[in-house]
Amino acid sequence: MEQPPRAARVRRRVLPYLLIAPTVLALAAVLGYPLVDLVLLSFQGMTRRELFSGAAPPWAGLANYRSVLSDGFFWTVVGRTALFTVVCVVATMVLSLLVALLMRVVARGVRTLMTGVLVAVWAMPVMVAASIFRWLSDADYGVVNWLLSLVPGLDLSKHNWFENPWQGFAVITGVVVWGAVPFAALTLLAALSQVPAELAEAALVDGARPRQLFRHVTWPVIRPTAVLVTSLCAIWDFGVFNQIWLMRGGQPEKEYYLLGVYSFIESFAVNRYSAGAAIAVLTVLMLLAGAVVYVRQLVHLGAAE
Amino acid sequence: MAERISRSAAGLGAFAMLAAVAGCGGGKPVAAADRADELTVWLTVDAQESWPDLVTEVNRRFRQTYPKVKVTVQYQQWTTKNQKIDAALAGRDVPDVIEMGNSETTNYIVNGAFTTVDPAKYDHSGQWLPALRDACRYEGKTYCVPYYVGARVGIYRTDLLARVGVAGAPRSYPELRADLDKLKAKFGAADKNFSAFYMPGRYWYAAMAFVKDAGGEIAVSRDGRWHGTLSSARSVAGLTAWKQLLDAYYTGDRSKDNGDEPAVVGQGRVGMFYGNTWEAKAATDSRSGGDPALRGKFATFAFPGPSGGLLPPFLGGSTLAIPAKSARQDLAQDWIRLFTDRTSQRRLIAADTLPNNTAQLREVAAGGVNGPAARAAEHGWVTPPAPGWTAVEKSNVLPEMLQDIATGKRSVADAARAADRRIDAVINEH
Repeated sequence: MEQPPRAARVRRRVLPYLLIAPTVLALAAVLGYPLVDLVLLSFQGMTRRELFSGAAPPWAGLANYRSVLSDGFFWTVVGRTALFTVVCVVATMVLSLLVALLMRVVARGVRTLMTGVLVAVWAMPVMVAASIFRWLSDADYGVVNWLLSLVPGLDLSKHNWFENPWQGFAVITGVVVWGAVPFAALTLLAALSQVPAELAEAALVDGARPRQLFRHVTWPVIRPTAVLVTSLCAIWDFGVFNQIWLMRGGQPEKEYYLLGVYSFIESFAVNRYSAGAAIAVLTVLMLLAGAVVYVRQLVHLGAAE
Repeated sequence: MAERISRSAAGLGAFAMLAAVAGCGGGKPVAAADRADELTVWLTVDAQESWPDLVTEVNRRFRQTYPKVKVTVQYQQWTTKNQKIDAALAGRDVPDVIEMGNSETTNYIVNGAFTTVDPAKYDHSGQWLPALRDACRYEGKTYCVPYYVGARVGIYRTDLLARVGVAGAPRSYPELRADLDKLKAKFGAADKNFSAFYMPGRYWYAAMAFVKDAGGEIAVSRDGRWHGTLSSARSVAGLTAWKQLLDAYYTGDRSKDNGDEPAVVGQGRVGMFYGNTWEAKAATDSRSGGDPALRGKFATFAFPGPSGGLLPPFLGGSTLAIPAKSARQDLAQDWIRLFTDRTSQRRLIAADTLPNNTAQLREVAAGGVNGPAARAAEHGWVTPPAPGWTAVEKSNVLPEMLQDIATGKRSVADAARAADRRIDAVINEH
């Protein structure tokens, strides 16, 4: 009555694929299909005439990509997006690490309070957060201007934070970082709890200074987590759309275009659906390059364990 | 994908035809009274807020002819309406009647989104306001039906003007500036947030009125192609006059648009502003952020321009169109006919709105709140009927140019040249 070993082997080999099939199917349906459609669209010359009539759009080959890639403005936006991502990620990680380290040393009650606050921030919808930051930095009635004007010698009443895109992006970076810190800080806190107390104690006994302790004991333990969180943050920040859209009242100036916003405007404001699709595809490619780093780290870490 | 849509659309058409044939049952057309169907109408929130009884009344009259047709009226926000329309038109389930702003129609007509209508079936179609009629016409055919129009006027605080010793509204530009000077001297000295004249930097309907007043244009068509002409000498003169007015009398944020104008005016720190007549009412309504204490303290006037005539106002109006994909075009036509006939137009006039035709423009009381608007409407202008005009509007070329000018980031000529380049890039695209 023993089952033939061959059948069992097949079943063992097939089972994992059967188990993962629903996930793969769901991903193919909600991500794969639109993505294929997007790539196709970027090689066509879709206009509203085809959209409204349902006629097949003409094939455009690489024309969309050529016009996008040869446009200096596109590269300005790419550079701006990259810079924005770097600033946001660095600020997020530094702040999160400081918060996480602080949470390790404060009293239990304070730690609970901090956790509560972080979770509350994490739970706040982007929509609400962006609106609040917009009101805080309002030129006429904003609290930020009022507060800063209390500093002697500083008059910021009626100062418009969005007139100068550098200042405007400072506010937008504020919202993005503020929203990202809870996740990063709590994840790092979890990683910090993996640092063996004996190890830290031994280092201190051996005369290690706090900085050395962090450099040689704490950091090696939390490094894998930090790398993962950094990659995830980079991917999120590269694709930022909502914060800019909401803080510029749905009408972002050209100086505020990041890749996501630029693609959306080309597609749905200027109605160059195919050019917008090409920009989106290029953005996805750039993100994929980032994702490769992330996946390599994952594999690397897996191998290390 | 597109091919699939067209095939299914063809299938749908065949199905509709079959259904119609089956419904005819031996060639006899179904009597209107027996026709069971549904009609979906997309109006903007204006109808819901300002003349809901007109919608109810028209639906009641429509039911007298078609007792078994269920009419569903859905209200859309101006800001999100077109994205919803685009999505709907790309699919199969389209609304049967759509309200379109008169600056939005051309692009949809050029791209075959709407079906033609026969003007002869509509009241006063021979006297439709050019601003609306032209927005509906393309290559000799008519694709939508004018609904209503609005013209901006000057609005002032009667009490504040009385306190600086001025009895009535200004009738010329020098008079206007003299009045504003007095307001500024009296109230601006004590309150640095007081604007004698409210003119936010991104308010393009106002700024373009000054361009028109100086004889300039936003864009013109030459040899079948559109070009931005904001950097022409006349346009620049108009923009410069607008900037001077703003520099002299406006103290608020220059990167704002006029979206919350009634609420700001309702704060009581504004002497005069340029806006739609309903905004005076909204400034005294707490629901729109206004102050009820200001009730009865606003009056309207035909706004004089620097050139010596009246400042030509943008005629913002609405039209009603029937999507080419609608399966109930005959019902849609009948509904629009009732909704825009002379009885309905009279109801709109009662709601302080301007009618769609010059004949009934004369029914607007000259002494009423809308009298100056009716007078100004005769000199009104519309946005260029270019295929890519919506793209120009939606990519915010004009507000961004004005913001650069208002904040002093760029000179008028510089900003205008940059805007022309951006206009040229998209205005000819379908």
